[in-house]
Amino acid sequence: MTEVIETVWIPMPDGTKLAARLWLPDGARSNPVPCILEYIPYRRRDRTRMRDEAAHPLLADAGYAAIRVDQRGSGDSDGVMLDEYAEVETNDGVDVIAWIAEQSWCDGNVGMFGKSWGAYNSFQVAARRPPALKAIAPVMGTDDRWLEDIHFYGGVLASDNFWWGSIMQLYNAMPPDPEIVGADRWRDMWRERLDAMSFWPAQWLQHQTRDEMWRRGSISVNYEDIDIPVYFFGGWADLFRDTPFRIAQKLKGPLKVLMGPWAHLYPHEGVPGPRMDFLGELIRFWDHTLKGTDTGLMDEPPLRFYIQDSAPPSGSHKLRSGRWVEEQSWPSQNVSQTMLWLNDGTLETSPVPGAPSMSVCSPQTFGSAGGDMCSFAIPGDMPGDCRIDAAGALCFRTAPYDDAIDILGQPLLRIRVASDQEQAFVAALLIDEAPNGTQTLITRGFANLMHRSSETSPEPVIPGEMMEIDVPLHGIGYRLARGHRFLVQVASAYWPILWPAPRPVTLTMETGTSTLALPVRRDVQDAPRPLPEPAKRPGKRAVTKIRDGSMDRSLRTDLATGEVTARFFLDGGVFGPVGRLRLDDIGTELGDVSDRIYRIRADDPLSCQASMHQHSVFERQDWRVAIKTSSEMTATETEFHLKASVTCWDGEDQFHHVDWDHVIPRNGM
Amino acid sequence: MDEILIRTDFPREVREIENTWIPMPDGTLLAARIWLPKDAEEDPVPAILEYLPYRKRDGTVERDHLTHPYFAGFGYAGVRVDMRGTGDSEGVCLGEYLAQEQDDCLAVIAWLAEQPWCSGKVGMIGISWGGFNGLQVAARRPSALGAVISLCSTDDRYADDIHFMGGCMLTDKLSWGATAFSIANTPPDPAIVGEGRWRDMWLERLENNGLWMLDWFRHQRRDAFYAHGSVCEDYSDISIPVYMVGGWADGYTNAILRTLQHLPGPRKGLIGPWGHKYPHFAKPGPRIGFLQECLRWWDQHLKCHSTGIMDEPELRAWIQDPSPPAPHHQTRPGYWVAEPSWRDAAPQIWSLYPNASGMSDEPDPSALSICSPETAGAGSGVWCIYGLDPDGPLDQNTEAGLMTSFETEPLQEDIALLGFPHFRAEVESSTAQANLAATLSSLDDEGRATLISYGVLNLAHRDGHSDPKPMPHGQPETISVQLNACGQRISKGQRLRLSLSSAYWPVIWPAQDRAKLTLTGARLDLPVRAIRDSDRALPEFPGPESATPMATKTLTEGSFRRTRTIDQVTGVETTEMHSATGAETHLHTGITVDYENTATFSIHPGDPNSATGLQRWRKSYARGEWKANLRTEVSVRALAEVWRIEASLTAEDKDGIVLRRQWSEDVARDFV
Repeated sequence: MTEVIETVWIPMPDGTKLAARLWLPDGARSNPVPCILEYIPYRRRDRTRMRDEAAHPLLADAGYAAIRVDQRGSGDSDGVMLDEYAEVETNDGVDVIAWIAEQSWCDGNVGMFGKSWGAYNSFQVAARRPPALKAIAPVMGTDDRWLEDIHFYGGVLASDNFWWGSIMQLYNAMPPDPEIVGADRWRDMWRERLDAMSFWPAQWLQHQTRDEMWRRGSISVNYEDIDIPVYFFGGWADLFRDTPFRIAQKLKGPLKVLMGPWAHLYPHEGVPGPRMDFLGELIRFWDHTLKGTDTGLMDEPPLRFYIQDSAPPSGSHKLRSGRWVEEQSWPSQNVSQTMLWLNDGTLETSPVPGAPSMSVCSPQTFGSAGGDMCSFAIPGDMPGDCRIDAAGALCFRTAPYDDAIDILGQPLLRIRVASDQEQAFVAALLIDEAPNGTQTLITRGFANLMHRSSETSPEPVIPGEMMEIDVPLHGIGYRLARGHRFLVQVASAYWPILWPAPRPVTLTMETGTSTLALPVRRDVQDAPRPLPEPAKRPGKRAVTKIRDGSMDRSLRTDLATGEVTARFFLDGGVFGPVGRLRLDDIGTELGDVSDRIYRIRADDPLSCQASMHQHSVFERQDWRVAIKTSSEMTATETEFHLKASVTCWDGEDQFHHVDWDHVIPRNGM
Repeated sequence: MDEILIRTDFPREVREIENTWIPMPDGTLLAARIWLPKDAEEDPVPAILEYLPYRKRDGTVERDHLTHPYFAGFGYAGVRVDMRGTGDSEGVCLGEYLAQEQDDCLAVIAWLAEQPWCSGKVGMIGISWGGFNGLQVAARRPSALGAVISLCSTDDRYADDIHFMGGCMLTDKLSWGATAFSIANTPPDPAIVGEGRWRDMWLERLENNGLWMLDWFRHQRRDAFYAHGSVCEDYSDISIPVYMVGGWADGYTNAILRTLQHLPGPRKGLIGPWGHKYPHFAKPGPRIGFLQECLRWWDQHLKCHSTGIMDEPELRAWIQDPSPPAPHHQTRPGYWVAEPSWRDAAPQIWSLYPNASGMSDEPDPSALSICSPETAGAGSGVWCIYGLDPDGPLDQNTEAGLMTSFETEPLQEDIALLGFPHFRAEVESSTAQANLAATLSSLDDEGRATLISYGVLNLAHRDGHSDPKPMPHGQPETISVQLNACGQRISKGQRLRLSLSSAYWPVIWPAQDRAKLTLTGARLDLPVRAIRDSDRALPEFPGPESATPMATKTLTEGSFRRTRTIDQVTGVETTEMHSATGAETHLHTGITVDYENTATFSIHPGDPNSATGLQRWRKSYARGEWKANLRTEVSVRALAEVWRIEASLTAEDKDGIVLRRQWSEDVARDFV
């Protein structure tokens, strides 16, 4: 019988105590076991409680102590959190591991895993080489915070910097639970956190180049720091699609990679399906790395990818048909680069020079079909039919393919292009065009032209000067169906995913000199091991629905003014329209409502506006907390303007209010 | 130039008869408002009749004040009559353009001719409904009727009205049907019909006027229902002079050129840049002194004064200069041209052939494949632009991913189009009934695309609208799509773009099934008009004038919104138009009117049977203690086999509900 300890306190060297929930397998107190750590700021007590209960008990059943730690300043832990992936966070992680290893129930071996934040800090902590840490399993995170985080895409400012930062604005304002930290202490702890809060989107925007801030916490700075076994899990509908290919080439220690069709969800809950028995696979990995059991895992080909089939565009894929393939190494001998030339509207295997150059000044609304870069599989958040944006880009099409063709890896677009503005970026889309005309996004990539020679010192474009620009497209495994075409679109805007350049940009491309290097995977007889689906777990749902959720994800065009509004409203918080819930075992009611609105007019990049309004409640008997946040971002030609506020209530009484108003000079963004 | 000069100084002093009753042979009384010279009984004048169901008391009152007193000041009796069952008139009104309506009008004309203040001559003027019935009544040849000015009207109720275009059903059948439904169920004014009578009269209407639209859906081919009231059935029925007037932004302009082509008697045509409004206050501008032009027409034909108007060219048309796309134009720059005789004008036909890489002068053997999402048409404007709101066509690049487009190289020289473009091809359809839309636009050097014209064809109607025939499977059929008449200059350096699609939403309802069309031998024929020196010698129209506008007090501001929303969860696209007049008091009657209208059209790009339209109206009337409110809701779903029509109506007065009614009917689709 697993022993579940609601809260254990982990002391840090400075006296700060971190709160953790611990699952101890039967007999661990007499017979020590390895421990698996998940270490994130998303509140083990309530917000991730259900998710934790879907994972950690299974680890315990498999003979591991499983521990879910609230980071310093989050959940029920003491202290304050001043940034993501801060030095202190990594130090704490090292100290937590040392503490775990010393516990009587631990045999001294620790594994660390986590999705997203928990993947980042798995890499970061591993790079510090804590002796007890024997293996990590990062799920959907990155080795490089500049290249592949929510802040910048291709060196261009991502709206997600604002969006995710606004979500953290809410999380950072959440109180500890009085039942855990004490009715006498919780207000003081909450006050300390609230007083220490800053508006992270603005804090991050102080760093618009690849400076020390982004190098910190990026293991890409020195891959040699990690030599323990790493098992990376990711999904094509998720944000982090290049990390697996980079680490497969760079990490020197034992590495496993598994890339499925999933959005930003653990693969045992993965959408689009098929799901896989992630925890079973994880346990095989721990058994091998922490218990020294030969599970055969490391004899299998280290890289496994899902090649997804052509599918009609949908913002809400439930399932992507496809197949698993395996590779021994990356780069793979099975994959070779096929060069396609961007000719006069066509994409062909040889250049056709001589046609006049092509120009496009993309409307600022181009990209409206793009969904989110990081899908959470919330209905409507994946890319829609690219035809919605068709007029805004230069288009290059292949002929229909006589046979299906597989691509696996990171396509590279190398274009000769000029801009009429000093500040500009290129957005490139690789699209599957079906015979009936529907257009499904395969992958995309971006390049800030001011970063063409340096990511640390942006340099204005010389208007009219032809440049050779590499636009790496994100990694993908895709089978283009017979009769379909590849379509490349090149545009100078990509809203709302990217913040627009300060002025409308006309890009001019030479024809017959630009290329797309397509990683074509040869037709090999793949016989990969079957990936089992997760087992159905018995047991009752320990939540009660108090109020049904609802959502709106829509694109609205005002046909009179041309303004487009992209709204993403969720009654139920970040992870779906679940409404208001009660966690039955602790009695806490939770309700998070968020309303994200992006607006822009096709002809004016300075009309771009992002706003986010959130409301969150915690209720249990006489404990009633409400938090309201608002945030807004706009820009002039030379500055970003960010305004935000947080108001908190303790019962009926306003407990805290703060306003922020930041003006930040634009620096090549 | 578009500023209207308000005229207060007239040759004859004007008096107004606020209301008088015109008896019909069956005893029903029609209400009329009349402006006439004070001395008309001593010096009788011709009467100018405007006869329609839009409520003289508070509906058309604003424009009536601009127009009829002006006619009166120049020696005419301006007469506004409410049709039977509408406004303040007695009886019920069972539909549009019924024989009863024309019979009544004959009685009205006879009555007018007999009045002591009337010279015995009558003219009819009207826009839209009142333009239709001018032609319809002229075809009945009442002896007193001397001439007609018919604006924004049609000679062919199947070809060019809110019902169909190229045999495809317009969504206006719903939106106008719902609007007419709301008009037909409004009450008379107690101040005119009597405190004791108005509610009973209203109830009679509410119980009897009904939902005309049901009849319209029951008739989907060109049968006797539409032949009635279509003067094209026999143009020679009309012998009196007819002046056809309209504008390029309007929905009825094709009828002007067709009528000039076929009317045997005296005829004139005038086409400006205007929407569905009288040209002295229409938008887009430039406006003209239309009332002065009317007077020249009336003086010529009702007073036998020689004004020279019949010596002038038969057709005056505005050739629009290139202009960037915009859903609303204050003005459309251009120039007037004239044709002495439209039927002899014979424009030069320039044929263009779409091919794999664009469109050129050379015929091309390639087959074109068309299978559009049902949302093609996203850049369209409303079928009939009134010129008031931003509801016109957008930058046609909106259609880029939806329609299949073919562009010419930049033009080597300016050209002007005047007349009907035609798109012709051999078409094979994967389904028995399919629609084909063709749009023509011009691209400027910034790549913006302005719609010039468009046309649609129901392929099952390729050989006529009376007897639809399914498209044979696997066999190409010759088709021709007439695009709307246009008058447009295209500049040197601009490109022309032809776009084709199998849907044109939300202008027309989708076909019953998703169709894949294969086209060969495709050709676009453009009517090119050479620029002539004589055009430059045309006299200018005088500036717009009117009588004194009526005095109003605005209580709440109006609003307008037109949006298209893609639900990214379901994929459904919804176009919504909302307009509210705001509450306004008419000072001369004390009536406060307040109208609100929402039209919602939804469709899934992959499912034609998901098409749904919903139209809501609220109309409120109040004066002191008197209150009348009408709320209506009408919806149509284009299911595979049937049109599902549902409607409801709620009428309330100050004491509460007067009547509630509901309708629900499935009408089988008939090759539409």
